[in-house]
Amino acid sequence: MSTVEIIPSGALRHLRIIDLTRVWAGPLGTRTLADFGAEVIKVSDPRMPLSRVGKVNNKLNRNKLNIALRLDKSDGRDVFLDLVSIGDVVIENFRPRVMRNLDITYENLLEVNPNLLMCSMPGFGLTGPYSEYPAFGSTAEAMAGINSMIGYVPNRPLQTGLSYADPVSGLNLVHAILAFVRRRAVTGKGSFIDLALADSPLGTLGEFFVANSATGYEQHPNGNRHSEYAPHGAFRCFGNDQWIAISITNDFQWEQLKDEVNDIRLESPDYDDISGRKVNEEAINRIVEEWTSRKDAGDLMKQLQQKRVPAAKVSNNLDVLNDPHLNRREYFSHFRISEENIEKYDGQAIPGNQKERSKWFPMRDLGEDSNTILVEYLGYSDDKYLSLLEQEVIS
Amino acid sequence: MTDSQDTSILDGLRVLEIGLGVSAPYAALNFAKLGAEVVKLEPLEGDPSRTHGPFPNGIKHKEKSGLFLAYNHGKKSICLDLNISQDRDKFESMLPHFDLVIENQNLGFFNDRRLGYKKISSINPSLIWVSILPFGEVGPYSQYVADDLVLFHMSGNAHGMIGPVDNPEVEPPIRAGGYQAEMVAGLTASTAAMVAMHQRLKTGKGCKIVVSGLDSMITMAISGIANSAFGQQPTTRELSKEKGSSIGGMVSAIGGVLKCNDGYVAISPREDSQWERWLELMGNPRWADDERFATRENRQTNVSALWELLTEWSLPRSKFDIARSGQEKRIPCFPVNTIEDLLADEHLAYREFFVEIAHFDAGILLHPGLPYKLNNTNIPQGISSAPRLGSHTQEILERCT
Repeated sequence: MSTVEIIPSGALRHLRIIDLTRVWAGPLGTRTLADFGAEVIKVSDPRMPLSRVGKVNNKLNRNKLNIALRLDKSDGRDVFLDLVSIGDVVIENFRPRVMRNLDITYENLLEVNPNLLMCSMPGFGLTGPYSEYPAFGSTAEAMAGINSMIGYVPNRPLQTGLSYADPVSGLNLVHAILAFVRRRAVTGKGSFIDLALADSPLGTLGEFFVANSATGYEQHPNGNRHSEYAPHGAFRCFGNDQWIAISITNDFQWEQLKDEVNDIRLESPDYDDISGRKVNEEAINRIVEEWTSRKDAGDLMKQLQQKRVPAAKVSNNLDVLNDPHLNRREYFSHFRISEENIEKYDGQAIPGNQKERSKWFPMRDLGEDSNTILVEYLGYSDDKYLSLLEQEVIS
Repeated sequence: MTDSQDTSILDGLRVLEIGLGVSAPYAALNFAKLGAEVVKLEPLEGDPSRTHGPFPNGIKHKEKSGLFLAYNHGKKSICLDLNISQDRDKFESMLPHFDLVIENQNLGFFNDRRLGYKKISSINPSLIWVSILPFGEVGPYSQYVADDLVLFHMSGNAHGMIGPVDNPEVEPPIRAGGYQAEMVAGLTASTAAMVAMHQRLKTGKGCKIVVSGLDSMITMAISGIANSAFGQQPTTRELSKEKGSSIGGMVSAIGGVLKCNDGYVAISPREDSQWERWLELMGNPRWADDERFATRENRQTNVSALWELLTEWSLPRSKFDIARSGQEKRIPCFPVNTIEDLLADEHLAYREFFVEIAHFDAGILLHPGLPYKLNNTNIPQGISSAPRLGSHTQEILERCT
């Protein structure tokens, strides 16, 4: 039973967001706001269609209206200013010079909306030596210290394919926007937020900064290992590229695991405490993996979990999609794309207070809502709308 | 800007954290950094993170744990034993004095102590209660146990993490450094709490929200899950079967990490024009005109040979020098920064990202600040250090009873 009231249109239904963001971090953040009922108006460039290949755009742009607008044309900029005048929040993630060249600054926008909240989220922030550097996920994560802690061996850092800084920034964006909207409700004041994408993941490495500033401690890549506990890793299972993650961090879990493995070699008194197991990690891992490699990963997960041992089958994307737990929880969202085609996407991990699921809608096409927004929201005449269309200011 | 002094964004908001380890403490820290008053309720022996390192010189001390100090500054500490009825009474008397509770105790902890949500909400109907559980309260895995490693691997993030490898049978999926799954659950929880706060502004009513760590991590995944997934075959982890030039732990025509004399540098001269400029930067080596490297496709086909030649060039050089020259030529590149590099980084220093906080026992420590600034001003001003165990017990109880 849910203890959260279902709010028909979501907790953020009073908010209108003008969304200039692209790629990932920004769109994930504005999608989150939209899932809770904020009206997100995505402003696209008419020359840049939203690709539906790979489905990343579909995933990130649900529940958003779309207007296609040339910000680099003066008539287009005027439309944008009108849009800002009826909005609560403007969010953008261009490189700083792009907004300067468009002459769209917070100061300009305040003239049309004195209570405006605006967030710029370029890769490295608006100030400082790197501010104009391009922020590709793969190099930005090197800058942010992420790579120096990922790898199998201490002296060989690896890149990730996840652009990990982006989703963390996206969530930080939502947290910040909502904090500042609340503040505006109290003080009546708008604000300008300069959010550096590369700074977000740094906040999740706090213990290493604290330890380094205290004693020069440096963390190195250690695969799946833990600095204090063992066994702690991904162990091979039966089949092609099948693994189970097992994490033993106390004596109870160790005893439970030992009972299941049932191998005399694990009975050594050297392994009875945490530090002894860490010292003998290699030997223990070999014995455990000998055992796991004969087992099915899914069955083994159930077996170990029944004994209160933290363990999980290492999932790939398809495993996640078919996972019985996630499906039972109705985690995923479904969109009927055509008569016979239903697409399944990740849901909203933040529970409660969402817009009712029946009101969720899939990604809109480029400019699909241009007419509605100009004519109904901004009160433009049909003639003005058609003329903007003809001049290719909108599409 | 006129309000640079007014940086306490969540002034007046009162948060009670009943956290263990990382996720709930991090969620509550997100409120402390914005100026909310955060009280941390600890058991008599303290939050278990006090016993985890890193410790100065490796010596255990409950007031010097790097993990504890990093995620508990700006908070007050009260010690109560919720297993005994006197302390539960004190706890109940505290509830009307808070707007928000964030907790990550084991499933059933509060029900078992007759502190279920029904009772809580009868004491304070406007209280927002946010629980973090690895798998949520319902569903087949709700009784399962998990920690950071398990959640990271179960969520698909580890499988997609470093992209294809030479031999998937000996190179397992791996996790990121630190406690990233816990962090993501914590950040999701603090965002959930913020949404609930907006709901409360309208209705005046509180609610209970249960955040699942697994759900939270799945929402993070993009390339590993969404790019290829949603009904399609899983991404391969075998390099020889990888058709495109995806970014991953291994090198590709799009980029990779190059070994230098002081570490590594990440480079990405992916477009032909960027590649031209990259060759210039290297002083147009003799092999620059080689047909094998003439196009992005050819560079992908011959990526191993290419990376050997690049490494030959980079090995005697500094990662910082290469990155600087690359950026001057508008090629995406950065040193693979270590923690020490970041603490010395000129850009972060310019933006005053790190915050210095003096701690009674552990000395002067550097903490990451908020990832954003308000009207060009840093937000966490005068935030206090992490509390000693129970150091505010009396103060809080006097105020609440």
